[in-house]
Amino acid sequence: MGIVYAFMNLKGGVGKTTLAANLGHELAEQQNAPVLLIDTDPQCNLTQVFYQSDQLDRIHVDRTVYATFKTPSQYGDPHPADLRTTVSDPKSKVRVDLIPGSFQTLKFGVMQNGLMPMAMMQNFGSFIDQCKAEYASIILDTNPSSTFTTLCALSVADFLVAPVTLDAFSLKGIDLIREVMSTMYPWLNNPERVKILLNRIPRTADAKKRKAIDEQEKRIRQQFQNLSPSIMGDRIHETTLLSTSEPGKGFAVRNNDWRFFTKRAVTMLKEDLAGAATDLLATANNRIH
Amino acid sequence: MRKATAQILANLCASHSKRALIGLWADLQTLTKAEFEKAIEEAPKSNGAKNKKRGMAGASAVSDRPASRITHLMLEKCDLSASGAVEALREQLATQGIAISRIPALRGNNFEAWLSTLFRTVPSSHVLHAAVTLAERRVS
Repeated sequence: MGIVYAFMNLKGGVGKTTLAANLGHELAEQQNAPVLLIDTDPQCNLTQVFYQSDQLDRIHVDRTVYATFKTPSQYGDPHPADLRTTVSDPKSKVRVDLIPGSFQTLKFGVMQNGLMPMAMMQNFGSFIDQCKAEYASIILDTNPSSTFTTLCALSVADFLVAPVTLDAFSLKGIDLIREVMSTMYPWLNNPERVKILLNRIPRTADAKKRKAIDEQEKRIRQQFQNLSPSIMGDRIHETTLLSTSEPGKGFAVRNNDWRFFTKRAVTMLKEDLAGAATDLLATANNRIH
Repeated sequence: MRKATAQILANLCASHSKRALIGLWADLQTLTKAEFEKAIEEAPKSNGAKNKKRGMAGASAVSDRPASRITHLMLEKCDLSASGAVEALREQLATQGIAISRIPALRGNNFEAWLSTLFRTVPSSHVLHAAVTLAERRVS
């Protein structure tokens, strides 16, 4: 059965989407099994990692995540095979599929009738159950607010993966998720099911700067003691490969730029991602056994 | 780029910033081959083995991987031996709810190798949290 990771932080701009995509690729590589990315964010940022905006416009809404929420259509319940596209290199052994997001899911935020959302959440849950049978890992990219789709993501997730930058504000984003949503999802209070991934950490050989980074992490651990066990040891270092990705560029780790510095940056990024993926897999194994 | 050149560049990258290397590239572009050869001959000669050693030490100091940080906390901050560190971590991890059966035995005296094996069964986040807790306890 596949494990479901919801990438979430109520603070935006911390790297949820880029890490969801690239860590997904790394998980597929380490597990030697297919991984499914699902874009539940109405802003469709994850989809735009793989599609240009004009390509995105051409995807029919019934071939997006939108279809997983709806009550059975004239075609019956959607199956993962109806919606997915393989976004990994077809020549590679690694397989990563994507279910694109849809701007139409914004509609769910303004629904008035209480019964309808419940049925839609159940539909989404049933769809994820089908995905679990086919994929080793399922990654849900969410939007940085407590919308209906965010709640749906939490309702099916085994783990919350929260990318943060090294500042108190982005940790507050996680605290806020717990405060707002743990009454509905008590598992959010279990530190083993929340994984905090430090992102955009400067890579420096300067001992003073490195000490300052360690001190900042120490302060954050002291300030948010209940989150400290959730902070992952592997950090994702700052790299232009993740920060300047253009729409439709695909996985940063598959960058085939021949230049020496790019190759070196890809190798270092892969090392960071490999460490984080090993941690996630060990966490999942701990929970299962 | 030739393999040997890539290796030299990798060595330079380990010890110099990107800005310094781009400065080097800009300066070298202005030289003719003869001027470059002269610059090499005039440059102070240093012991290759010594340089290699310094480069390796620098590289290990740069690492902020969990294994390096945990090793620093346990062996230097807590001043424990490899076996003492394993024992302390085993006890701390048990209090964090990790089953002892998931913690491998230390073979030989290589603490970092033991950590690499441990990370396959126990998430590095849990081990780092245990090491931070032990180090803080030691300080207080």
